[in-house]
Amino acid sequence: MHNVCGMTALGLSAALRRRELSAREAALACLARMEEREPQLHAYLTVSRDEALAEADAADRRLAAGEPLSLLDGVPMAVKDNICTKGVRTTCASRMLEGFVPPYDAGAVSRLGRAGAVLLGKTNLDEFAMGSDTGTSAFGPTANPIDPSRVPGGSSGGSAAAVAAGEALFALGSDTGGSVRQPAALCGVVGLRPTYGRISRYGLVGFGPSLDQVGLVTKDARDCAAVLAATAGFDPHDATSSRQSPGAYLDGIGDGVRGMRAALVRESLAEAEPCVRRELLRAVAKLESLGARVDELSLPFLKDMLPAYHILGSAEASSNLARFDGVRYGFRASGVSDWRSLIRESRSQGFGLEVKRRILLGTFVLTKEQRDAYEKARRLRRKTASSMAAALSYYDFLLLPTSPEVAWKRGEKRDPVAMYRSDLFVVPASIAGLPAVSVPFGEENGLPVGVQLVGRAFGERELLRAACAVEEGRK
Amino acid sequence: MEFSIKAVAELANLRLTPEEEEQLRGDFEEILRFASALQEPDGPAHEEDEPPFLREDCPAASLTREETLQNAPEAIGGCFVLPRAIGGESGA
Repeated sequence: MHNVCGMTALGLSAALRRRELSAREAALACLARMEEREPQLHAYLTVSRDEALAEADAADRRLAAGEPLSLLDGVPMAVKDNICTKGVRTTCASRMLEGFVPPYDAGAVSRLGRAGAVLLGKTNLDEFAMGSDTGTSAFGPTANPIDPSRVPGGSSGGSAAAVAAGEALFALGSDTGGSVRQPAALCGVVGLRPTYGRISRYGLVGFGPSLDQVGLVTKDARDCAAVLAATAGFDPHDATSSRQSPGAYLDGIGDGVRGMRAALVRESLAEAEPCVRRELLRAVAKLESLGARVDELSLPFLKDMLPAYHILGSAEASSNLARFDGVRYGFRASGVSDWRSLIRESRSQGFGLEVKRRILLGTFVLTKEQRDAYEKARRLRRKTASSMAAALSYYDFLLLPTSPEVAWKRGEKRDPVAMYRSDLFVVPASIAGLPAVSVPFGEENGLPVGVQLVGRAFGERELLRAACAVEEGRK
Repeated sequence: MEFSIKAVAELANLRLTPEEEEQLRGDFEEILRFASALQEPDGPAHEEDEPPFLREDCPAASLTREETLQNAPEAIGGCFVLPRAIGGESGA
């Protein structure tokens, strides 16, 4: 008897091909796990049980005929609720889109559908992906499956919690400023932000389009490689998606790090909690013992990247979210008789406080008077991108913590700046457009710690090979 | 950075309740202090990026009118409905 919820996606895939169990049984096992854990976790906003079982039955027919569509055929997955799924409600965890049913699938969802993955449902997030603990969701927060009195991180907290709890075998998230990596670290799973342009953003509800990327939450690095292979690639619907062919991400993933060069970002040590620093240094020692060379590197702009990110991200958010006007889709305020009030009231009643805060900050930094601050942030972004690219012309990957701390108690962090600081180490890869992966490594009082590896643009294959070595090194 | 939250809210088409305004005012001061600590890097803010790939301008399957209107709060006769914008008391 298989414990489906404890398996990796590739482990389940092998069992499905051997017909040791069916895709229907796998989907039912995840649905049963949801019944048991969802009252406490609230990782899902929508569960599409009937559709999932129909997809699983179709996968079983293909598997029985010996014609699976891919390694992921019949594997149950979850999708963050800011990624469009045709016919399945997509809310962005906002009152603004409470009843929104997309008429099309996002690019990444279409690819996974063609690969035969089974969509179980849509996961909770901070409203419009704005937050770091899934606490700004208009439909209530998500709890961390390892300790439900603690946050799962965010904004893809629902996706990370669902995978960690075995309520899905993998999940899609989105990463604008760390929203896949940080919750993955806090929930003890793997989180990948691919290179900007690697996975289509078509159908991902926009927050900051120059920063947004669809990301992956998986149980290990091998699953991550398999899901990346299924989702990466050019999409004519996304002008920023890359025409570069995806790599063979699973090939040689277990080959280890012998001969690889890594750089530990020195400034990150001072900013991390002692337990995070300890685990990061332990990961360095492990990599060295496996044959990698690890140097220290200074990234002096590290602390400045966070305010620069908030200036640029908020500016883009304020422009993007201008589309919510109560006319074409989304919430419409009632009892207003003129069109100007209709737009203002629909926005004011439909958006939550964190979304308003970012729209206002973005509107402010885009005023003529604030042009200098905005330009300064843009220059910092260029500087960061070029200094990281220069470091990566020599080093195979950079090492940083993912989160400065382990999962904190729910309700503990109220002030927005304290909350923003939890993204200190994840923002640099976002603003440089580089791929980065968080891998669980060690723990503090039972709470997982994540180590982050940042790689070269489109170097996901080498990055995941290194991640796989870190992962195996922790055992 | 000088800042009038009311004026910015007006630009962003948002109406704030007095409680929201109070809370956001405090948060903003904190966020602006945090942003004003930015170092001054050298180099240009803008560089010519490679032009994005643009797809061929040729007809292809798109959403139907029904699909386009399926999420509209109000639609009549294949059109979005909104309050009168031209003429009338509140027209602009």
